[in-house]
Amino acid sequence: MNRLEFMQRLEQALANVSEEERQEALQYYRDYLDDAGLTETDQVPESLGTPEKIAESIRGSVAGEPESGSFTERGFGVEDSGNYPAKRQENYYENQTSFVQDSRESGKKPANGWKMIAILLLGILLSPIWIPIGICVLALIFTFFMILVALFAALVAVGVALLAGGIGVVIWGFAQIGVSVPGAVVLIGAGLLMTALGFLLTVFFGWVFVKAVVAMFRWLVALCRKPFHKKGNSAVQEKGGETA
Amino acid sequence: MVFNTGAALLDAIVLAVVSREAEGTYGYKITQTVRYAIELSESTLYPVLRRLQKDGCLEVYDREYGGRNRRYYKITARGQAQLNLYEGEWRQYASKITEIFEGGINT
Repeated sequence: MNRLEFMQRLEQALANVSEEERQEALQYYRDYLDDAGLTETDQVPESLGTPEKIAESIRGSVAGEPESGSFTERGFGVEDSGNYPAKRQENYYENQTSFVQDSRESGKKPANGWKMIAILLLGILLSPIWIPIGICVLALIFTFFMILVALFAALVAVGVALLAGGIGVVIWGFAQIGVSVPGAVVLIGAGLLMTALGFLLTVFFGWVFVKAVVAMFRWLVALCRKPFHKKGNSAVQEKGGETA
Repeated sequence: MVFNTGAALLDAIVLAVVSREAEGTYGYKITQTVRYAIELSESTLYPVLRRLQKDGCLEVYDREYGGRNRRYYKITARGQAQLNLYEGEWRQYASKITEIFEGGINT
């Protein structure tokens, strides 16, 4: 590893150390390598250790207790110096784990919370807009539905009227048989035609009407269920994500 | 080396090395001098120097050298007091150990 590479790796390895500490450390090692007479392309001796190890020892001493234990008024004892490196190591690892936990907490949970709150707040703030729009849309759908129903009802009514009228005309025709046979035949023929037409209209539009109403009801029900379905799905996904 | 060097002893050695230079001295030279006495990786001293600086036992300043700024470490009054304490403790400790080694102790 040459000097340039070494310094780059050291800087990377010190990424999660405060800016001040990082600059201090980088300045020290720049100095050190200058004094060792190494240029950018010279190999850094192994005795210096890897940049990652150096960064670890810096994090350990910076993040841990200020190691005041070695500066008691009684100086140092055998216990003190024996205990010391182990204590530092412990501190270092404690700091590491708490760091990881912190980043995970701040990275995930509060973000979700904030998102929920933001959506809720937006919903409340925009309620004067979306409530009337929603009512309007519902009214339009209802109106459209009603128009269709009325249209089909009217067509069926025409069919029924033709049917009834036709039967009436046929009966009238039979009643006129004594007055004029040709007139009665015309009347009976017209009446039968009307009856047939009315029967066809009634049956056809009655069938279409029933089909259409059933289809529209299905569509409406599906429309109402859609948001709930979606919500249910995403809730499952969220749960899955959390356990993963 | 057979014997471990505790953090306090390392502090004492570093303070002693720095205190020998009235004008202060720099990281590379400190490291080489300390390495004369004890085996340590060349990067061991940075955290020690940084901590001693933070504790007010050492102060740093930059001085121009060969067209660049070199960081110098200088001992403070507090550092000197700490060093005196360490040296006193060390003499006691070393003489007692020597005494035992040479069989001159009778209790």
